[in-house]
Amino acid sequence: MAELLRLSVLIAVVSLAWALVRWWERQNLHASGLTPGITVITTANCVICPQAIAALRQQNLASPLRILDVGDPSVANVRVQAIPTVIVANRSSQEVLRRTGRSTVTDAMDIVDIAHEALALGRRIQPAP
Amino acid sequence: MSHAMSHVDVNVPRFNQAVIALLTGIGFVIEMPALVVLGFSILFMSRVFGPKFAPLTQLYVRSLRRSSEITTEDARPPAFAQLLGTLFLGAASIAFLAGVPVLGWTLSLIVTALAALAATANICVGCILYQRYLEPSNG
Repeated sequence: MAELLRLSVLIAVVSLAWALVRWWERQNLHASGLTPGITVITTANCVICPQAIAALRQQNLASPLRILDVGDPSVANVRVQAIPTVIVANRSSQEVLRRTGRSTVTDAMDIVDIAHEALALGRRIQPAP
Repeated sequence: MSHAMSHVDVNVPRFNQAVIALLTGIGFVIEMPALVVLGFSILFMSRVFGPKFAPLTQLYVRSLRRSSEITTEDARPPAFAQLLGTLFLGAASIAFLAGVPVLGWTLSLIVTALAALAATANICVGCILYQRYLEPSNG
């Protein structure tokens, strides 16, 4: 009986710790002004971004889908945003790389695959170079 | 002794409750009454010295708070709930020191359950008791 109680409390403690972590992520998210989903960081010369956005929308993958211009101040906060989130930008977006410390993808369908994976796993995916 | 504030950031009591529930819960799981005594010490410091010297409140305000938009609530109900938690954990600590661990864990687990309920479901039993029986407007 005592062991059963101990196990129950252990489960409750782990659940609470997990809830605390998620709460902390929401705090960060709220502070960043962003919402969970897919964040596409676009640049003027981003060839794949429009394709990626169209593909994501077509597959109803990202709700909400947030599109940020690379000049948007929110981009600086992208690194702290909560999950699931995919950051997309074209390879030449050195500014994005510098600000977010993330890799980029070059193919629109890669982006869709990554978005599928991120949403399925429910965790942050850093796109492979 | 009271250090009463009229309003408090809603996340401060929730964070306090979550950490106290974790401390006392982990204490029970690993059979470590010292964690219950630590929880009591934290709450006791908060009660006696006020928010400026409340370890968990200061941890949240100085390090964890991210948003500049702060939602506040009446500070009295959560303060009363905290007082109940302090009393229960104080009694639990005395029970451990007196060699009555069953009583100590029972009191401690009541705090664990109620603090977890408040932190996760926002159902603060101490606050409800205050609002129902002690709030000045209710006589």
